[in-house]
Amino acid sequence: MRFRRRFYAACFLAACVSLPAVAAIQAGVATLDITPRESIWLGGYAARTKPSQGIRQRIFAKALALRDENGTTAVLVTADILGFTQELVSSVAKNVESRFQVPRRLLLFNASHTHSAPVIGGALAPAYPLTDGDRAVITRYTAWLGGELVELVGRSIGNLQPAQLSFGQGLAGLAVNRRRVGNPEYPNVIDPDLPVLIVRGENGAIRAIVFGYACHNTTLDDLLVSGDWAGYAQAAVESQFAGAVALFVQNCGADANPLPRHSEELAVAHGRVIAAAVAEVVQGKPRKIDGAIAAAFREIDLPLEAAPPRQEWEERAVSGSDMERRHARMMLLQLDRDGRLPASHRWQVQAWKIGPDFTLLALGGEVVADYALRFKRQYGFRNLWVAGYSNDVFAYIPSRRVWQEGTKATVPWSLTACLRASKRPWKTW
Amino acid sequence: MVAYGLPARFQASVEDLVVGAVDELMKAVSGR
Repeated sequence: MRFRRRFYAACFLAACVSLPAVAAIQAGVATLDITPRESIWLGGYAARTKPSQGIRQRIFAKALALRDENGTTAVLVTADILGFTQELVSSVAKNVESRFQVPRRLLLFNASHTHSAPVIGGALAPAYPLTDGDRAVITRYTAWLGGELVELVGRSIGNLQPAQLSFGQGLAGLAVNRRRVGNPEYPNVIDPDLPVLIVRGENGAIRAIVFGYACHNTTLDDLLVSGDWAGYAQAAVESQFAGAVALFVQNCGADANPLPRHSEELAVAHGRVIAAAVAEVVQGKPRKIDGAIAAAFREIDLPLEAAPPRQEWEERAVSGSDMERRHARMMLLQLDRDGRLPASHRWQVQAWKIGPDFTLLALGGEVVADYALRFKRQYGFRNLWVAGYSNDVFAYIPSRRVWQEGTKATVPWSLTACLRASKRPWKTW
Repeated sequence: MVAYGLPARFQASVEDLVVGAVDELMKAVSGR
């Protein structure tokens, strides 16, 4: 009897020891060089007068696929661009669903918001004095990017392997609330959190590091292509953690600038600061993430104020600044075509939850820091990642506080413009 | 090229709509 009990105990122990470690999560990563092969207008600044004149740093799109034990597959796509457009994202998502059976709610796009990458589609079109030839280059690049992003997603899924996920939040002090420039009485509302998702293979080697921060990529403003500080940060992370792919997610940094700025030296330095903060999290005690992937995706209409009458657009079309004239002509074309101007914009919001301890909330548009701080207060700072610039990036999303402050600001023309009643309402970035 | 641009700024009430949509989304992924 005693022998039999020992025998069964030994068998049980052997079975426990010999059981293979089955990873509940799989992960796959892929990268795509999206550096333009011809001179092209760079997005974000209305002050530029001509297309790009060279390459300072290569830019990339990257994809991270995650699959849980139920077979649910989610794919995050990040890119060193100003912003994805709804048109581009819809096209890519449709093809991804058709080819790889990943539904829209499980496909998430986030743009770094670098102001030194090609203009995408018709985004912020009134800002640039484009010729027909310029538009053709942008159309060609956008079409190429759309096709390649589908392949990128496919490669990330093809690379799925057993993985271990962990998550931690660091802090970094690069961002300054840009509405304070010239308005020191304004509060320095920023989101200083630096969320980091670490993907390790079964052997413990780091395969991918996804990190986020809430700050414009506007250190650089010349005619050279680059990922700005986020590009340098990704390169620094990949250099420090050899074999890992670094993916950057822009958080709610609509009202944050990297200061000081305006030089390559500063962009590199900013990147190193962020990379050092990422390393602190990776080398600290990030918490393990495991469990089923839950995802949700919603679209709601955000209402606009009443548009000016046609007569005002006609006046602006001849008397405004270059950009005001271009915008007014665009509005007149819409009036001619549709008989009216839109009264709202369809806004996209998405959330992924992995197990009980990690949620990624992805907001469309340029979202100010108030939202990230509010949602983290409400749902928890430790487990929640609040990203902006996700999917469609079409306009600033002001909080009520910023909206009420808005008209006094004389700071960065862009954020001021989006808040100034019907003065520069086209301002979408 | 698709014409891209908005004719006016958002209404101040967008904050309420954003917060409401996020609340709904967070409940959805939490299974509540």
